[in-house]
Amino acid sequence: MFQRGSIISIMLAAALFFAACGTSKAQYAGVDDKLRRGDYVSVAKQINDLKEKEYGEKNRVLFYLDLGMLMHYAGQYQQSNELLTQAENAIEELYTVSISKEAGAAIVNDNTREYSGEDYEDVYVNIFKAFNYLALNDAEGAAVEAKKVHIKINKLKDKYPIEDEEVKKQELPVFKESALAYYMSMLLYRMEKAWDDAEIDRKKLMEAMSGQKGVYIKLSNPEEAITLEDEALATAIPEGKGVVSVVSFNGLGPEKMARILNINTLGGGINISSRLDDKKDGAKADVRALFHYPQMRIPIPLMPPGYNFTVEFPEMVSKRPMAHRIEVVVDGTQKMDLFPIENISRVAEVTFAQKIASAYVKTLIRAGVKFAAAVVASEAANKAGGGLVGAITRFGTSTIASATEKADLRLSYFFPGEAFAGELALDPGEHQVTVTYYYGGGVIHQEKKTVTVKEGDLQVLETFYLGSR
Amino acid sequence: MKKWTVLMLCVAVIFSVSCASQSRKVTRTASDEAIDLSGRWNDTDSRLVAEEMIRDVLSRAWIDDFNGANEGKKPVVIVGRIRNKSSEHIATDVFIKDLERELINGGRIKFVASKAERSELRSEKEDQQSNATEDSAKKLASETGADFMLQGTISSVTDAVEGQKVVFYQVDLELVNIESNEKVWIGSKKIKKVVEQAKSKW
Repeated sequence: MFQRGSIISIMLAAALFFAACGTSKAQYAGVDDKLRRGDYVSVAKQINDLKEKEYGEKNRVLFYLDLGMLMHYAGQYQQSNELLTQAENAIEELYTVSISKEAGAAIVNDNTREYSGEDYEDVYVNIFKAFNYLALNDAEGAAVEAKKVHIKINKLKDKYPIEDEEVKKQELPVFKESALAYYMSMLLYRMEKAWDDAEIDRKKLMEAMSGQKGVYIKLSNPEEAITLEDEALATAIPEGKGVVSVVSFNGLGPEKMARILNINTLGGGINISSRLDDKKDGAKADVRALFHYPQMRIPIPLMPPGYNFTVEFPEMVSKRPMAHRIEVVVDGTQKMDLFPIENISRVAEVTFAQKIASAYVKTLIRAGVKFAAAVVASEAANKAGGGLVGAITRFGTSTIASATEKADLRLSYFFPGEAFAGELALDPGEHQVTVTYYYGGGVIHQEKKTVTVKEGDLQVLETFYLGSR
Repeated sequence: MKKWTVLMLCVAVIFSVSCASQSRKVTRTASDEAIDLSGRWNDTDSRLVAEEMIRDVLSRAWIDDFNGANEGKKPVVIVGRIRNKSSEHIATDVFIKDLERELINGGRIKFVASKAERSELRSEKEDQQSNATEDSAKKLASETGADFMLQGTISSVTDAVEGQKVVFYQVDLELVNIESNEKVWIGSKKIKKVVEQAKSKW
């Protein structure tokens, strides 16, 4: 009997070892400075060198997304497309969950699962593939990607039904349309002179902004809505002119952080009694959080009373961009500020909050059932072994129960935080375009490009600065 | 004892997961066998659409009209641009080759090389003028000009929810008289596919 107790203890220790596997982010060490300097090649090399050690087969979606985005910034559009396509295909393939692998995740934690991508990653992967195709002079390929974005966003509308009444009361914002995706397809229609189609997408762009107040807010100032005057964006190309569209990306996309909930067990149920602060920046994050974890009692048969354990929920948190304003100057004279068109980080927050809210009660029930099973195992070991074995096992029970509910904080790192856009009608010929990123009155980044404008043509100029605080 | 068994089973599952292995099997198959894996547009769609649409174009009155007006001469056709307006990256060059094959094999028309092929042939002919023997060098400016051009689009409409999508493809082709811009034939072929992806597998 003593032997069986020892085995249980060893098993619990082994489970604790596996459960403690959290999210490693070692591959991103030191990348922020390099990104600010625009040294994308060096960051890509760092990521590629750590493919086996930090990513592996389980995190291949993350690897393809990370390297694919870096290749895009480095101007390696063909390679970027290949990598982002691999990411997209892997996300699609991983929609089908392996029960054998999921069983492992149910016992251990979500970090043991193959990373299957977040919704916002699956959507924006096509936006950046569209930019790649444009840079490769393949407007038809870009149009295919733009259509895929609309199909994917359409699917999101019904993806996360919220059944629990307490959760439903929060009326979380829903991401239904992307202004940036409509801007992309509007550009492509204008390139092929399909003016009616372009006008339809221009109107949809306006509706996407005005109809989704909870999504279209500024990344640098969430209190301020992203709006656009109807006359700020025209479909037609003025006679005798060519149009240069400048699309500028700013800051880095969001990161995931763990939110910890304290759970008390009752006889036959659990009580979510208190909410702990965010691990990183305390109560502030709670104010920003979209989803407020409702305090509730959930019945779980056979749950023993008088225990405490914790459950971690991943939460998407935006990073603040360093630049607040982007200005375009043509030939040193013609000036304009770009307008914000999409807060990509906010889209990530909104879609992820829907996902967490939809699974909130189920996650707590799963955690409760695991905890009840651990208590049963602990009591069995206690009876069988007593003394030291029992003490080790009792310690293991609460630790494992908490460790197995560690949040899965995996997320690709290199999507930008927000997108700006603006258009200039220019005379045919060569022009110097300077794009400057400002914080207050200070210049923090500048890019100069020469464009050759042809009458009646439209071309896209893309810039990016990934500095975030 | 029962709890003990459940616990053992759970541990076994964890270990079996980490020991899972993948194997690859390759089977040779006939090139015209219909195999649908992802549900996307594939070689079977390309071949079947080309066969059906060319059968239709070759059975219409425009050929007899042309023969009648040109002392029984066969019309000369070229395949122009097939635009992909769908939500998938479709290898339109494969589809164009399928169309060309079906057109030639029908035997009722003559067929000339495409723009890119013609450019290569012209370059070869120019080279022959200075490097080939006089009797074997092919003459410049003696190509056969096409009478008609086949152009078209592939479009799609996708309706999708979690784990299921319906894709509707429509291929529209038009045969246009190059001299008069007259459309002598318009054909359309539709394909509808239901693609289901299971939420789970063992």
